[in-house]
Amino acid sequence: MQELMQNLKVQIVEQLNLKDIKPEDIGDDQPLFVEGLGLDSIDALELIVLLQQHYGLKLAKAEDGPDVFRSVSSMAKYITANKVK
Amino acid sequence: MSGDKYVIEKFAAIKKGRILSNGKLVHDSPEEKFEELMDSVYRLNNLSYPKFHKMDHLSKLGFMTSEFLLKDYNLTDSYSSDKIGVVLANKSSSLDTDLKYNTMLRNGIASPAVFVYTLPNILIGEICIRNKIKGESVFFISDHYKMKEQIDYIKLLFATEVIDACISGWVEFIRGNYESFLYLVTRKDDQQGEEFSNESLTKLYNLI
Repeated sequence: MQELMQNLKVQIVEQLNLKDIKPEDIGDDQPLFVEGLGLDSIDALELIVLLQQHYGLKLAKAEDGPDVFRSVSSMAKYITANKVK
Repeated sequence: MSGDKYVIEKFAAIKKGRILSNGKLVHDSPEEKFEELMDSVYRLNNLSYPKFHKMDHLSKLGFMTSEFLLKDYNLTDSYSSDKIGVVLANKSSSLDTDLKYNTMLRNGIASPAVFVYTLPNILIGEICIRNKIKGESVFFISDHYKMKEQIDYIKLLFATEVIDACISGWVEFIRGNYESFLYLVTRKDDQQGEEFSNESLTKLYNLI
């Protein structure tokens, strides 16, 4: 799980062009949106693309988005629970 | 209103690694590639605007030019936000980003963050968000800079009381070639500045 979260942080910084932020600056449970990293709705779409590109996962239900993309930790849990065995 | 005097208060331009702000050369590094230029100017100006890094080339170019144009000047202190217009023009529209997006589509999954820049008026949005501008805006596409038509259009906006100030100019980016020229024109009899005419604008445009 720890390795997965480290990878996710690198991928988020790269995919979202967060040039002012280093992967290690992102806390495991830090909120990604609004008061946390300050991501916006377009970033949310980019995170969905990230899941598809890197982990082959499609978000089954849009209403799951806020929970799945709450933090790096929640994304890692979703990937672990849904990755193709 | 007839008889009103319009003046060019400020102007800024970026071309081939050179940045001009109100006639003063503030950056000169013709060897720098566009991305390097934008990154170095962002750092040198101590900008703190993370969204800048997500913009496409056209928006970065126009946005950075507007930063030099409006440096240390808060437009909304002098004008109502809904009376400030933005009138821009270029030749290649958003084609540079359109081509990038097309390549992505062919390679599989396309980026939503790239897709949102497949319209040139997104640049206007970026300038408006940054400067809290809510007035009339338009982005014209033409094969060359039709300065006189731009002036006529802006004077019409002034004459019909739609705007009291306007950011306008030419912002072009295609395949690494770029050129931007922005000016601020206002309606104030006591305002210092160049007369808003084809002759004055041509003179300023040719400085870069």
